[in-house]
Amino acid sequence: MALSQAMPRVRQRTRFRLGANRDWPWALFFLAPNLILFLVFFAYPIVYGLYISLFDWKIIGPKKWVGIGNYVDFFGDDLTRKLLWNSIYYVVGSTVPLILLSLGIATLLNTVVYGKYAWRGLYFLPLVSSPVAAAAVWKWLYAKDQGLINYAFVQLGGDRIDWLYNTRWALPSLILMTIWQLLPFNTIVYLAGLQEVPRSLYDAAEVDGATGWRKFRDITIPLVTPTTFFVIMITLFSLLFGSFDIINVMTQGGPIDSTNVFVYNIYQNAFKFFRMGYASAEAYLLFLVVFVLTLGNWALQKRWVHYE
Amino acid sequence: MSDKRFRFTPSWLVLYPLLVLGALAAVIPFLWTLSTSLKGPEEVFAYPPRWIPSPFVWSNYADAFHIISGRTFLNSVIFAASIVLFQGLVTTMGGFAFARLRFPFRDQVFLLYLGTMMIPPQVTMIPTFIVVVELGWINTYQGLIVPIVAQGAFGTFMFRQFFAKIPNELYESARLDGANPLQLYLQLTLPLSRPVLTAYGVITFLTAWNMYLWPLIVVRSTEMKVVPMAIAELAGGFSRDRGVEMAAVSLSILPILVLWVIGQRWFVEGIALTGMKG
Repeated sequence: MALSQAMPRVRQRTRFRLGANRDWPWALFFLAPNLILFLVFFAYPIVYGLYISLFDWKIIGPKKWVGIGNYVDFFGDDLTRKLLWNSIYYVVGSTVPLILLSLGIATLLNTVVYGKYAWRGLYFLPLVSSPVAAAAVWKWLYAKDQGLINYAFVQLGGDRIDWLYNTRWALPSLILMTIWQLLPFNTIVYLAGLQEVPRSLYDAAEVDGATGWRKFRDITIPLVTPTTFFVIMITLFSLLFGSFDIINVMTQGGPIDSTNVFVYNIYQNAFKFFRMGYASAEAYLLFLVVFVLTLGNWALQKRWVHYE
Repeated sequence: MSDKRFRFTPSWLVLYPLLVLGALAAVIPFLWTLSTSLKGPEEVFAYPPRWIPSPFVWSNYADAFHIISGRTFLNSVIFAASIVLFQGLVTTMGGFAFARLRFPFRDQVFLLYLGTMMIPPQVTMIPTFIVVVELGWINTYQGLIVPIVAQGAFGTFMFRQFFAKIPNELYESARLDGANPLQLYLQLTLPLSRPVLTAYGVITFLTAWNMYLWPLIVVRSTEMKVVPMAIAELAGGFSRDRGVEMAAVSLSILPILVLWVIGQRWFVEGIALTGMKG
Protein backbone atom coordinates (compact mmCIF):
# COMPACT_ATOMS: atom_id res chain seq x y z
CA MET A 1 0.00 0.00 0.00
CA ALA A 2 2.63 2.46 1.09
CA LEU A 3 4.86 1.39 -1.75
CA SER A 4 2.20 1.72 -4.41
CA GLN A 5 1.40 5.19 -3.13
CA ALA A 6 5.02 6.24 -3.27
CA MET A 7 5.69 4.79 -6.69
CA PRO A 8 3.81 7.17 -8.96
CA ARG A 9 5.35 10.16 -7.23
CA VAL A 10 8.85 8.84 -7.75
CA ARG A 11 8.15 8.03 -11.34
CA GLN A 12 6.69 11.44 -11.98
CA ARG A 13 9.63 13.15 -10.41
CA THR A 14 12.14 11.29 -12.55
CA ARG A 15 10.10 11.99 -15.63
CA PHE A 16 10.16 15.63 -14.68
CA ARG A 17 13.93 15.70 -14.48
CA LEU A 18 14.47 13.69 -17.61
CA GLY A 19 12.08 15.98 -19.40
CA ALA A 20 13.96 19.18 -18.59
CA ASN A 21 13.55 20.30 -22.19
CA ARG A 22 10.40 18.39 -22.97
CA ASP A 23 8.24 21.47 -23.28
CA TRP A 24 9.69 22.38 -26.63
CA PRO A 25 6.66 21.38 -28.77
CA TRP A 26 4.53 23.53 -26.51
CA ALA A 27 7.11 26.31 -26.63
CA LEU A 28 6.92 26.21 -30.40
CA PHE A 29 3.15 26.54 -30.17
CA PHE A 30 3.35 29.50 -27.80
CA LEU A 31 6.11 31.24 -29.71
CA ALA A 32 4.74 30.59 -33.19
CA PRO A 33 2.74 33.85 -33.50
CA ASN A 34 5.73 35.84 -32.26
CA LEU A 35 8.07 33.97 -34.54
CA ILE A 36 6.01 34.35 -37.72
CA LEU A 37 5.37 38.05 -37.14
CA PHE A 38 9.02 38.55 -36.27
CA LEU A 39 10.24 36.88 -39.44
CA VAL A 40 7.83 38.62 -41.82
CA PHE A 41 7.68 42.09 -40.28
CA PHE A 42 11.07 42.40 -38.65
CA ALA A 43 13.85 40.04 -39.71
CA TYR A 44 13.06 40.17 -43.40
CA PRO A 45 12.51 43.97 -43.48
CA ILE A 46 15.80 44.58 -41.66
CA VAL A 47 17.75 42.70 -44.31
CA TYR A 48 15.62 43.96 -47.17
CA GLY A 49 16.08 47.57 -46.03
CA LEU A 50 19.84 47.25 -46.17
CA TYR A 51 19.52 45.77 -49.66
CA ILE A 52 17.28 48.63 -50.88
CA SER A 53 19.72 51.19 -49.53
CA LEU A 54 22.18 50.08 -52.21
CA PHE A 55 19.81 51.00 -55.04
CA ASP A 56 18.36 54.04 -56.70
CA TRP A 57 14.68 53.17 -56.58
CA LYS A 58 11.56 55.29 -57.06
CA ILE A 59 9.27 52.43 -55.92
CA ILE A 60 7.62 52.35 -59.35
CA GLY A 61 10.04 51.19 -62.00
CA PRO A 62 13.25 49.21 -61.85
CA LYS A 63 15.89 49.31 -59.13
CA LYS A 64 19.21 50.75 -60.24
CA TRP A 65 22.30 49.50 -58.42
CA VAL A 66 24.35 52.35 -56.94
CA GLY A 67 26.39 50.53 -54.29
CA ILE A 68 27.22 52.89 -51.45
CA GLY A 69 26.20 55.81 -53.64
CA ASN A 70 23.26 56.78 -51.43
CA TYR A 71 25.51 56.94 -48.38
CA VAL A 72 28.08 59.01 -50.25
CA ASP A 73 25.32 61.37 -51.43
CA PHE A 74 24.03 61.77 -47.89
CA PHE A 75 27.38 62.99 -46.59
CA GLY A 76 27.76 65.30 -49.56
CA ASP A 77 24.27 66.81 -49.30
CA ASP A 78 23.97 70.41 -48.11
CA LEU A 79 20.88 69.54 -46.10
CA THR A 80 22.69 66.90 -44.03
CA ARG A 81 24.59 69.36 -41.85
CA LYS A 82 21.36 71.23 -41.13
CA LEU A 83 19.53 68.00 -40.29
CA LEU A 84 22.26 66.97 -37.89
CA TRP A 85 22.36 70.35 -36.19
CA ASN A 86 18.55 70.52 -35.89
CA SER A 87 18.38 66.99 -34.50
CA ILE A 88 21.02 67.69 -31.87
CA TYR A 89 19.42 71.03 -30.99
CA TYR A 90 16.00 69.43 -30.68
CA VAL A 91 17.13 66.39 -28.68
CA VAL A 92 19.48 68.16 -26.27
CA GLY A 93 17.22 71.21 -25.99
CA SER A 94 14.30 69.01 -24.96
CA THR A 95 16.06 66.35 -22.89
CA VAL A 96 17.89 68.61 -20.44
CA PRO A 97 14.85 70.68 -19.36
CA LEU A 98 12.71 67.53 -19.37
CA ILE A 99 14.99 65.76 -16.90
CA LEU A 100 15.31 68.75 -14.57
CA LEU A 101 11.60 69.64 -14.66
CA SER A 102 10.29 66.10 -14.27
CA LEU A 103 12.54 65.41 -11.27
CA GLY A 104 11.53 68.76 -9.75
CA ILE A 105 7.81 68.20 -10.32
CA ALA A 106 7.97 64.60 -9.07
CA THR A 107 9.64 65.84 -5.88
CA LEU A 108 6.97 68.53 -5.45
CA LEU A 109 4.15 66.04 -6.04
CA ASN A 110 5.78 63.62 -3.64
CA THR A 111 5.98 66.28 -0.94
CA VAL A 112 2.48 67.70 -1.25
CA VAL A 113 0.07 66.64 1.49
CA TYR A 114 -3.29 68.08 0.50
CA GLY A 115 -5.13 66.99 -2.63
CA LYS A 116 -2.32 64.65 -3.59
CA TYR A 117 -4.28 62.88 -6.32
CA ALA A 118 -6.00 66.03 -7.60
CA TRP A 119 -2.62 67.66 -8.21
CA ARG A 120 -1.38 64.56 -9.97
CA GLY A 121 -4.49 64.46 -12.12
CA LEU A 122 -3.84 68.02 -13.29
CA TYR A 123 -0.14 67.51 -13.92
CA PHE A 124 -0.65 64.26 -15.81
CA LEU A 125 -3.45 65.62 -17.99
CA PRO A 126 -1.32 66.21 -21.13
CA LEU A 127 -1.03 62.40 -21.31
CA VAL A 128 -4.58 62.10 -22.65
CA SER A 129 -3.83 64.15 -25.73
CA SER A 130 -2.27 62.47 -28.75
CA PRO A 131 0.81 64.13 -30.24
CA VAL A 132 -1.32 65.09 -33.24
CA ALA A 133 -4.09 66.65 -31.14
CA ALA A 134 -1.52 68.45 -28.98
CA ALA A 135 0.20 69.76 -32.10
CA ALA A 136 -3.12 71.09 -33.42
CA VAL A 137 -3.77 72.85 -30.11
CA TRP A 138 -0.30 74.34 -29.88
CA LYS A 139 -0.44 75.52 -33.45
CA TRP A 140 -3.44 77.56 -32.40
CA LEU A 141 -1.68 78.78 -29.24
CA TYR A 142 1.29 79.90 -31.35
CA ALA A 143 -0.86 81.66 -33.99
CA LYS A 144 0.48 85.11 -34.79
CA ASP A 145 -2.62 87.27 -34.57
CA GLN A 146 -5.09 85.57 -32.25
CA GLY A 147 -2.80 83.14 -30.47
CA LEU A 148 -2.87 83.06 -26.70
CA ILE A 149 0.91 83.04 -26.42
CA ASN A 150 1.34 86.21 -28.43
CA TYR A 151 -1.43 87.81 -26.40
CA ALA A 152 0.46 87.08 -23.19
CA PHE A 153 3.67 88.20 -24.87
CA VAL A 154 2.21 91.54 -25.90
CA GLN A 155 0.76 92.07 -22.41
CA LEU A 156 4.28 91.64 -21.04
CA GLY A 157 5.53 94.31 -23.43
CA GLY A 158 6.91 92.17 -26.25
CA ASP A 159 6.29 92.23 -29.98
CA ARG A 160 4.21 89.68 -31.84
CA ILE A 161 6.27 86.83 -33.19
CA ASP A 162 5.13 84.43 -35.88
CA TRP A 163 6.50 81.55 -33.84
CA LEU A 164 6.09 78.66 -36.27
CA TYR A 165 6.87 80.59 -39.45
CA ASN A 166 10.11 82.14 -38.29
CA THR A 167 13.38 80.32 -38.89
CA ARG A 168 14.76 81.42 -35.54
CA TRP A 169 11.78 80.55 -33.34
CA ALA A 170 10.16 77.56 -35.01
CA LEU A 171 12.43 74.92 -33.49
CA PRO A 172 12.43 76.37 -29.95
CA SER A 173 8.63 76.54 -30.22
CA LEU A 174 8.50 72.85 -31.08
CA ILE A 175 10.82 72.14 -28.15
CA LEU A 176 8.56 73.95 -25.67
CA MET A 177 5.55 72.00 -26.91
CA THR A 178 7.49 68.72 -26.77
CA ILE A 179 8.44 69.37 -23.16
CA TRP A 180 4.82 70.06 -22.26
CA GLN A 181 3.79 66.83 -23.89
CA LEU A 182 6.45 64.45 -22.51
CA LEU A 183 6.63 65.87 -19.00
CA PRO A 184 3.82 63.76 -17.44
CA PHE A 185 5.32 60.47 -18.58
CA ASN A 186 8.76 61.30 -17.18
CA THR A 187 7.25 62.66 -13.98
CA ILE A 188 5.35 59.40 -13.39
CA VAL A 189 8.52 57.38 -13.88
CA TYR A 190 10.38 59.66 -11.45
CA LEU A 191 7.56 59.41 -8.91
CA ALA A 192 7.88 55.64 -9.02
CA GLY A 193 11.65 56.02 -8.66
CA LEU A 194 11.29 58.29 -5.63
CA GLN A 195 9.29 55.60 -3.81
CA GLU A 196 12.38 53.39 -3.94
CA VAL A 197 14.45 55.84 -1.90
CA PRO A 198 14.40 54.58 1.71
CA ARG A 199 12.66 57.02 4.07
CA SER A 200 15.12 56.16 6.80
CA LEU A 201 17.80 58.10 4.95
CA TYR A 202 15.73 61.28 5.08
CA ASP A 203 14.91 60.69 8.75
CA ALA A 204 18.59 60.26 9.56
CA ALA A 205 19.43 63.42 7.64
CA GLU A 206 16.74 65.35 9.50
CA VAL A 207 18.21 64.25 12.82
CA ASP A 208 21.50 65.70 11.62
CA GLY A 209 19.68 68.95 10.83
CA ALA A 210 19.81 68.76 7.03
CA THR A 211 17.62 71.24 5.13
CA GLY A 212 15.24 70.36 2.30
CA TRP A 213 17.72 71.37 -0.38
CA ARG A 214 20.58 69.39 1.20
CA LYS A 215 18.38 66.32 1.41
CA PHE A 216 17.42 66.72 -2.24
CA ARG A 217 21.01 67.20 -3.38
CA ASP A 218 22.72 64.58 -1.24
CA ILE A 219 20.08 61.87 -0.97
CA THR A 220 17.45 62.19 -3.69
CA ILE A 221 19.62 63.01 -6.68
CA PRO A 222 22.23 60.27 -6.15
CA LEU A 223 19.64 57.63 -5.24
CA VAL A 224 17.38 58.22 -8.24
CA THR A 225 20.25 57.99 -10.74
CA PRO A 226 19.01 54.59 -12.00
CA THR A 227 15.69 56.28 -12.82
CA THR A 228 17.50 59.23 -14.38
CA PHE A 229 19.42 56.82 -16.58
CA PHE A 230 16.21 55.16 -17.66
CA VAL A 231 14.43 58.49 -18.24
CA ILE A 232 17.28 59.72 -20.43
CA MET A 233 17.11 56.59 -22.58
CA ILE A 234 13.32 56.72 -22.93
CA THR A 235 13.38 60.44 -23.72
CA LEU A 236 16.04 60.02 -26.38
CA PHE A 237 14.00 57.29 -28.03
CA SER A 238 10.71 59.14 -27.94
CA LEU A 239 12.33 62.33 -29.28
CA LEU A 240 14.18 60.56 -32.06
CA PHE A 241 11.24 58.51 -33.26
CA GLY A 242 8.19 60.34 -31.97
CA SER A 243 8.93 63.82 -33.28
CA PHE A 244 7.42 63.01 -36.67
CA ASP A 245 3.81 63.60 -35.60
CA ILE A 246 4.23 67.09 -34.22
CA ILE A 247 6.57 68.24 -36.98
CA ASN A 248 4.24 67.03 -39.69
CA VAL A 249 1.27 68.84 -38.16
CA MET A 250 2.98 72.04 -37.02
CA THR A 251 5.71 72.93 -39.50
CA GLN A 252 6.28 70.11 -42.02
CA GLY A 253 9.98 70.70 -41.49
CA GLY A 254 9.83 74.37 -42.46
CA PRO A 255 10.33 77.24 -42.70
CA ILE A 256 13.35 76.58 -44.99
CA ASP A 257 14.11 73.27 -43.23
CA SER A 258 14.62 75.01 -39.89
CA THR A 259 12.62 72.27 -38.13
CA ASN A 260 13.63 69.42 -40.39
CA VAL A 261 15.21 66.62 -38.38
CA PHE A 262 16.61 63.23 -39.27
CA VAL A 263 13.43 61.16 -38.85
CA TYR A 264 11.26 63.70 -40.63
CA ASN A 265 13.61 63.79 -43.60
CA ILE A 266 13.50 59.99 -43.86
CA TYR A 267 9.72 60.18 -44.15
CA GLN A 268 9.89 62.98 -46.73
CA ASN A 269 12.37 61.11 -48.89
CA ALA A 270 10.53 57.80 -48.70
CA PHE A 271 6.90 58.83 -48.94
CA LYS A 272 6.90 62.33 -50.46
CA PHE A 273 9.76 62.12 -52.96
CA PHE A 274 9.73 58.29 -53.24
CA ARG A 275 13.51 58.06 -52.94
CA MET A 276 13.27 54.67 -51.26
CA GLY A 277 16.94 53.77 -51.57
CA TYR A 278 18.21 57.07 -50.22
CA ALA A 279 15.69 57.05 -47.36
CA SER A 280 16.71 53.49 -46.44
CA ALA A 281 20.35 54.53 -46.34
CA GLU A 282 19.40 57.41 -44.02
CA ALA A 283 17.43 55.02 -41.81
CA TYR A 284 20.44 52.75 -41.49
CA LEU A 285 22.69 55.66 -40.57
CA LEU A 286 20.15 56.66 -37.93
CA PHE A 287 20.27 53.12 -36.62
CA LEU A 288 24.04 53.43 -36.35
CA VAL A 289 23.73 56.70 -34.42
CA VAL A 290 21.18 55.20 -32.03
CA PHE A 291 23.37 52.15 -31.55
CA VAL A 292 26.42 54.27 -30.67
CA LEU A 293 24.33 56.50 -28.37
CA THR A 294 22.93 53.50 -26.53
CA LEU A 295 26.31 51.84 -26.13
CA GLY A 296 27.84 55.13 -25.00
CA ASN A 297 25.09 55.64 -22.46
CA TRP A 298 25.55 52.12 -21.09
CA ALA A 299 29.32 52.55 -20.92
CA LEU A 300 29.02 55.88 -19.14
CA GLN A 301 26.43 54.74 -16.65
CA LYS A 302 29.05 53.06 -14.46
CA ARG A 303 30.50 56.51 -13.80
CA TRP A 304 27.37 58.16 -12.45
CA VAL A 305 24.57 55.66 -11.79
CA HIS A 306 24.42 54.27 -8.27
CA TYR A 307 22.97 50.82 -7.94
CA GLU A 308 22.46 49.46 -4.45
CA MET B 1 9.27 64.98 4.33
CA SER B 2 6.15 66.01 6.16
CA ASP B 3 3.71 63.75 7.92
CA LYS B 4 -0.05 63.52 7.50
CA ARG B 5 -0.93 65.97 10.29
CA PHE B 6 -1.69 69.57 9.45
CA ARG B 7 1.49 71.50 9.94
CA PHE B 8 2.10 74.83 8.30
CA THR B 9 5.71 75.47 7.40
CA PRO B 10 7.20 78.45 5.59
CA SER B 11 8.20 76.19 2.71
CA TRP B 12 4.50 76.08 1.79
CA LEU B 13 4.78 79.67 0.61
CA VAL B 14 7.13 78.45 -2.09
CA LEU B 15 5.68 75.00 -2.64
CA TYR B 16 2.05 75.78 -3.36
CA PRO B 17 2.51 78.77 -5.67
CA LEU B 18 4.97 76.65 -7.66
CA LEU B 19 2.46 73.82 -7.79
CA VAL B 20 -0.29 76.12 -9.01
CA LEU B 21 1.95 77.63 -11.68
CA GLY B 22 2.93 74.22 -13.03
CA ALA B 23 -0.64 72.93 -12.98
CA LEU B 24 -1.79 76.01 -14.92
CA ALA B 25 0.85 75.38 -17.58
CA ALA B 26 -0.36 71.79 -17.90
CA VAL B 27 -4.06 72.63 -18.04
CA ILE B 28 -4.35 75.97 -19.91
CA PRO B 29 -3.96 74.45 -23.40
CA PHE B 30 -6.93 72.18 -22.62
CA LEU B 31 -9.10 74.99 -21.27
CA TRP B 32 -8.25 77.11 -24.28
CA THR B 33 -9.16 74.24 -26.61
CA LEU B 34 -12.48 73.81 -24.85
CA SER B 35 -13.18 77.53 -24.91
CA THR B 36 -12.32 77.89 -28.60
CA SER B 37 -14.36 74.82 -29.49
CA LEU B 38 -17.53 76.62 -28.41
CA LYS B 39 -16.90 79.89 -30.23
CA GLY B 40 -18.38 81.08 -33.48
CA PRO B 41 -16.14 82.11 -36.40
CA GLU B 42 -16.14 85.80 -35.39
CA GLU B 43 -15.58 85.37 -31.70
CA VAL B 44 -12.54 83.20 -32.34
CA PHE B 45 -10.81 86.31 -33.64
CA ALA B 46 -11.90 88.53 -30.75
CA TYR B 47 -9.07 90.52 -29.29
CA PRO B 48 -8.35 90.52 -26.38
CA PRO B 49 -9.32 86.82 -26.28
CA ARG B 50 -12.36 85.87 -24.20
CA TRP B 51 -12.39 82.72 -22.11
CA ILE B 52 -16.14 82.28 -21.83
CA PRO B 53 -17.77 82.14 -25.27
CA SER B 54 -21.06 83.93 -25.80
CA PRO B 55 -23.12 82.44 -27.19
CA PHE B 56 -22.03 78.83 -26.83
CA VAL B 57 -21.85 77.45 -30.36
CA TRP B 58 -22.65 73.79 -29.75
CA SER B 59 -23.10 73.20 -33.45
CA ASN B 60 -19.27 73.21 -33.75
CA TYR B 61 -19.33 69.73 -32.27
CA ALA B 62 -21.92 68.47 -34.73
CA ASP B 63 -19.87 69.96 -37.58
CA ALA B 64 -16.67 68.45 -36.20
CA PHE B 65 -18.25 65.03 -35.90
CA HIS B 66 -19.48 65.34 -39.44
CA ILE B 67 -16.01 66.29 -40.69
CA ILE B 68 -14.20 63.52 -38.82
CA SER B 69 -17.08 61.14 -39.67
CA GLY B 70 -18.41 58.18 -37.74
CA ARG B 71 -16.56 55.83 -40.02
CA THR B 72 -13.22 57.33 -39.02
CA PHE B 73 -14.07 56.93 -35.34
CA LEU B 74 -15.11 53.34 -35.98
CA ASN B 75 -11.83 52.69 -37.81
CA SER B 76 -9.87 54.03 -34.84
CA VAL B 77 -11.82 51.84 -32.44
CA ILE B 78 -11.27 48.75 -34.62
CA PHE B 79 -7.59 49.60 -35.04
CA ALA B 80 -6.87 50.23 -31.36
CA ALA B 81 -9.01 47.38 -30.01
CA SER B 82 -7.52 44.83 -32.45
CA ILE B 83 -4.02 45.85 -31.49
CA VAL B 84 -4.79 45.52 -27.78
CA LEU B 85 -6.37 42.12 -28.34
CA PHE B 86 -3.91 40.55 -30.78
CA GLN B 87 -0.77 42.10 -29.34
CA GLY B 88 -1.97 41.07 -25.89
CA LEU B 89 -2.38 37.48 -27.09
CA VAL B 90 0.96 37.33 -28.90
CA THR B 91 2.98 38.96 -26.12
CA THR B 92 1.44 36.99 -23.23
CA MET B 93 1.94 33.73 -25.11
CA GLY B 94 5.56 34.61 -25.82
CA GLY B 95 6.15 35.87 -22.30
CA PHE B 96 4.68 32.67 -20.91
CA ALA B 97 6.93 30.48 -23.06
CA PHE B 98 10.06 32.40 -22.05
CA ALA B 99 9.17 32.51 -18.36
CA ARG B 100 7.55 29.15 -17.73
CA LEU B 101 8.48 26.55 -20.33
CA ARG B 102 11.72 24.65 -20.65
CA PHE B 103 13.21 24.35 -24.09
CA PRO B 104 16.71 24.40 -25.57
CA PHE B 105 18.45 27.80 -25.88
CA ARG B 106 15.56 29.54 -24.18
CA ASP B 107 17.55 32.35 -22.60
CA GLN B 108 19.73 32.89 -25.66
CA VAL B 109 16.68 33.21 -27.89
CA PHE B 110 15.14 35.61 -25.40
CA LEU B 111 18.23 37.84 -25.33
CA LEU B 112 18.36 37.90 -29.11
CA TYR B 113 14.69 38.87 -29.24
CA LEU B 114 15.29 41.62 -26.66
CA GLY B 115 18.08 43.02 -28.80
CA THR B 116 15.55 43.83 -31.53
CA MET B 117 14.01 46.45 -29.24
CA MET B 118 17.01 48.64 -29.96
CA ILE B 119 16.30 48.85 -33.67
CA PRO B 120 14.56 52.12 -34.54
CA PRO B 121 11.11 51.78 -36.12
CA GLN B 122 12.28 54.04 -38.97
CA VAL B 123 14.70 51.32 -40.09
CA THR B 124 11.94 48.78 -40.58
CA MET B 125 9.26 51.26 -41.68
CA ILE B 126 10.23 51.46 -45.35
CA PRO B 127 10.83 47.74 -46.00
CA THR B 128 7.74 46.85 -43.94
CA PHE B 129 5.74 49.17 -46.16
CA ILE B 130 7.06 47.28 -49.18
CA VAL B 131 6.15 43.94 -47.58
CA VAL B 132 2.63 45.26 -47.02
CA VAL B 133 2.48 46.37 -50.68
CA GLU B 134 3.62 42.92 -51.82
CA LEU B 135 0.99 41.24 -49.64
CA GLY B 136 -1.65 43.45 -51.23
CA TRP B 137 -2.50 44.85 -47.81
CA ILE B 138 -2.31 48.56 -48.64
CA ASN B 139 -5.44 50.39 -47.47
CA THR B 140 -6.76 47.41 -45.50
CA TYR B 141 -7.34 46.73 -41.82
CA GLN B 142 -4.80 43.91 -41.78
CA GLY B 143 -2.22 46.23 -43.32
CA LEU B 144 -2.89 48.75 -40.57
CA ILE B 145 -3.00 46.27 -37.71
CA VAL B 146 -0.69 43.29 -38.27
CA PRO B 147 2.65 45.16 -38.61
CA ILE B 148 1.87 47.03 -35.36
CA VAL B 149 0.96 43.78 -33.60
CA ALA B 150 4.39 42.55 -34.71
CA GLN B 151 6.06 45.25 -32.59
CA GLY B 152 5.59 43.14 -29.49
CA ALA B 153 9.14 42.71 -28.25
CA PHE B 154 8.65 45.08 -25.37
CA GLY B 155 5.36 43.54 -24.28
CA THR B 156 6.82 40.05 -24.46
CA PHE B 157 9.74 41.19 -22.32
CA MET B 158 7.44 42.85 -19.79
CA PHE B 159 5.14 39.83 -19.45
CA ARG B 160 8.08 37.47 -19.22
CA GLN B 161 9.42 39.47 -16.26
CA PHE B 162 6.02 39.48 -14.61
CA PHE B 163 5.21 35.80 -15.18
CA ALA B 164 8.63 34.77 -13.89
CA LYS B 165 7.72 36.26 -10.50
CA ILE B 166 4.65 34.04 -10.00
CA PRO B 167 5.60 31.48 -7.31
CA ASN B 168 7.03 28.32 -8.81
CA GLU B 169 5.12 26.03 -6.40
CA LEU B 170 1.85 26.93 -8.10
CA TYR B 171 3.18 25.62 -11.40
CA GLU B 172 4.82 22.56 -9.87
CA SER B 173 1.63 21.43 -8.17
CA ALA B 174 -0.52 22.16 -11.22
CA ARG B 175 1.84 20.10 -13.35
CA LEU B 176 1.73 17.25 -10.86
CA ASP B 177 -2.05 17.39 -11.17
CA GLY B 178 -1.53 16.76 -14.86
CA ALA B 179 -2.10 20.26 -16.26
CA ASN B 180 -0.61 20.85 -19.68
CA PRO B 181 1.07 24.16 -20.64
CA LEU B 182 -2.06 25.45 -22.35
CA GLN B 183 -3.96 25.01 -19.09
CA LEU B 184 -1.12 26.57 -17.14
CA TYR B 185 -1.34 29.59 -19.44
CA LEU B 186 -5.11 29.96 -19.53
CA GLN B 187 -6.12 28.89 -16.04
CA LEU B 188 -3.15 29.90 -13.90
CA THR B 189 -0.99 32.56 -15.53
CA LEU B 190 -3.58 34.86 -17.07
CA PRO B 191 -5.99 34.97 -14.10
CA LEU B 192 -3.10 35.78 -11.75
CA SER B 193 -1.97 38.62 -14.00
CA ARG B 194 -5.15 40.63 -14.23
CA PRO B 195 -3.66 43.92 -12.89
CA VAL B 196 -0.70 43.86 -15.24
CA LEU B 197 -2.94 42.87 -18.16
CA THR B 198 -5.25 45.82 -17.49
CA ALA B 199 -2.39 48.29 -17.19
CA TYR B 200 -0.83 46.98 -20.38
CA GLY B 201 -4.18 47.08 -22.17
CA VAL B 202 -4.81 50.69 -21.22
CA ILE B 203 -1.37 51.89 -22.30
CA THR B 204 -1.51 49.93 -25.55
CA PHE B 205 -4.95 51.29 -26.37
CA LEU B 206 -3.72 54.83 -25.72
CA THR B 207 -0.67 54.32 -27.93
CA ALA B 208 -2.70 52.77 -30.76
CA TRP B 209 -5.45 55.39 -30.58
CA ASN B 210 -2.78 58.09 -30.98
CA MET B 211 -0.85 56.43 -33.80
CA TYR B 212 -0.40 58.61 -36.85
CA LEU B 213 2.67 57.76 -38.94
CA TRP B 214 1.88 54.16 -39.86
CA PRO B 215 -1.78 54.81 -40.79
CA LEU B 216 -0.62 57.82 -42.82
CA ILE B 217 1.60 55.51 -44.86
CA VAL B 218 -0.82 52.63 -45.32
CA VAL B 219 -4.20 54.35 -45.72
CA ARG B 220 -5.11 55.53 -49.22
CA SER B 221 -8.82 56.31 -49.02
CA THR B 222 -11.18 58.42 -46.93
CA GLU B 223 -13.04 55.33 -45.73
CA MET B 224 -9.94 53.83 -44.07
CA LYS B 225 -8.75 56.95 -42.21
CA VAL B 226 -8.18 56.97 -38.46
CA VAL B 227 -8.85 59.89 -36.11
CA PRO B 228 -5.31 61.36 -35.86
CA MET B 229 -5.20 61.59 -39.67
CA ALA B 230 -8.45 63.56 -39.72
CA ILE B 231 -7.19 65.91 -36.99
CA ALA B 232 -3.87 66.42 -38.75
CA GLU B 233 -5.64 67.34 -41.98
CA LEU B 234 -7.84 69.85 -40.19
CA ALA B 235 -4.87 71.43 -38.45
CA GLY B 236 -2.54 71.39 -41.43
CA GLY B 237 -2.10 74.66 -43.28
CA PHE B 238 -4.12 77.71 -42.34
CA SER B 239 -7.30 76.84 -40.57
CA ARG B 240 -10.56 78.38 -41.71
CA ASP B 241 -12.69 77.62 -38.70
CA ARG B 242 -10.77 77.28 -35.44
CA GLY B 243 -13.94 76.62 -33.47
CA VAL B 244 -14.78 73.49 -35.44
CA GLU B 245 -11.13 72.46 -35.49
CA MET B 246 -10.84 72.63 -31.70
CA ALA B 247 -14.17 70.83 -31.35
CA ALA B 248 -12.69 68.03 -33.46
CA VAL B 249 -9.59 67.96 -31.27
CA SER B 250 -11.81 67.74 -28.18
CA LEU B 251 -13.80 64.89 -29.69
CA SER B 252 -10.58 62.99 -30.47
CA ILE B 253 -9.38 63.38 -26.89
CA LEU B 254 -12.74 62.49 -25.35
CA PRO B 255 -12.49 58.65 -25.37
CA ILE B 256 -9.07 58.75 -23.74
CA LEU B 257 -10.24 61.38 -21.25
CA VAL B 258 -13.13 59.13 -20.22
CA LEU B 259 -10.72 56.23 -19.83
CA TRP B 260 -8.47 58.51 -17.81
CA VAL B 261 -11.22 59.60 -15.44
CA ILE B 262 -12.34 55.99 -14.88
CA GLY B 263 -8.91 54.47 -14.46
CA GLN B 264 -6.17 57.00 -13.81
CA ARG B 265 -4.35 54.47 -11.72
CA TRP B 266 -4.10 52.06 -14.67
CA PHE B 267 -2.36 54.73 -16.72
CA VAL B 268 0.02 55.56 -13.91
CA GLU B 269 0.65 51.90 -13.12
CA GLY B 270 1.10 51.07 -16.77
CA ILE B 271 3.73 53.75 -17.17
CA ALA B 272 5.46 52.93 -13.92
CA LEU B 273 5.37 49.29 -14.97
CA THR B 274 6.89 49.91 -18.37
CA GLY B 275 9.36 52.19 -16.67
CA MET B 276 10.52 50.58 -13.50
CA LYS B 277 10.17 46.86 -13.29
CA GLY B 278 12.99 45.90 -15.64
